[in-house]
Amino acid sequence: MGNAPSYKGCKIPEDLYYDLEYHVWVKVDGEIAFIGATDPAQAYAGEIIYLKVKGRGTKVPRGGILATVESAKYMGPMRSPLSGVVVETNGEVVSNPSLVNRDPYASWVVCLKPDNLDGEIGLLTKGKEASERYKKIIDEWGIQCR
Amino acid sequence: MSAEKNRFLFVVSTGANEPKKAFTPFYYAAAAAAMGYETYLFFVAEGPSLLKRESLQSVRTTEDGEPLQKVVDLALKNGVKFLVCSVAAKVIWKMGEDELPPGAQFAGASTLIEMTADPSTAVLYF
Repeated sequence: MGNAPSYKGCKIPEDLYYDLEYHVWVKVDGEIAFIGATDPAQAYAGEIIYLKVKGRGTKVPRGGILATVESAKYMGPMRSPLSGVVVETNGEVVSNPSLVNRDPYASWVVCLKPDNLDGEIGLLTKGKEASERYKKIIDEWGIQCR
Repeated sequence: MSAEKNRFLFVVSTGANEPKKAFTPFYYAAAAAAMGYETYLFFVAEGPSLLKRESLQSVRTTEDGEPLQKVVDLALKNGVKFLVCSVAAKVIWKMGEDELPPGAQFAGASTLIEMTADPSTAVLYF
């Protein structure tokens, strides 16, 4: 991820999918999708001090709440970019949520088994396009990633 | 058997005269909404004073802290609904509908009583 395109320090790796409404990244591995917060999203939130994640077996629709993100200046939901069932949560990230700030793309939050991957993957934005579209969002938010 | 709680109601009776208490109900309501609960803030007595335009900019917990507007916007963004006691707002604080944040509505005592009587509602008082 070291060579990922960046804008104002915010990296957007090209090999991932992105939901530009919910500000999460998706990495598809076979029948499983790893999901985490994007670099601009963690910068917007500030240092994350608490992360409450839905448990294994939770069924979530696209747009449903996967986790609640809490920082000193932000409180908000992490919404699911795909419909599916939570098959794993990242215990390391839950017990040390600032890992999301330090390395957002290594710090997946939830692992999901999608119900309708073929139908919903087209709703996500591929890396190259996402890195272009994020420039405007980063400017609007007035953030600098690092 | 007790009903499952799926709605949070935060009753706010403290106002702009207690800035250190002002941020908490908005932040906790934003949390409840972010967790997927239907969430309301109900402003009574001193509470509506927090929503006055000058309070949104001037109320801060510390001198160099963020203005109250920041947590009000956070709560609204997360989908928290604001209900404002019409008697307190209009009689005590001389507020008109145009002074309420977008989406906020005036409500009466009967609305608060009806909501708190609903066993699916958890009520927190600030």
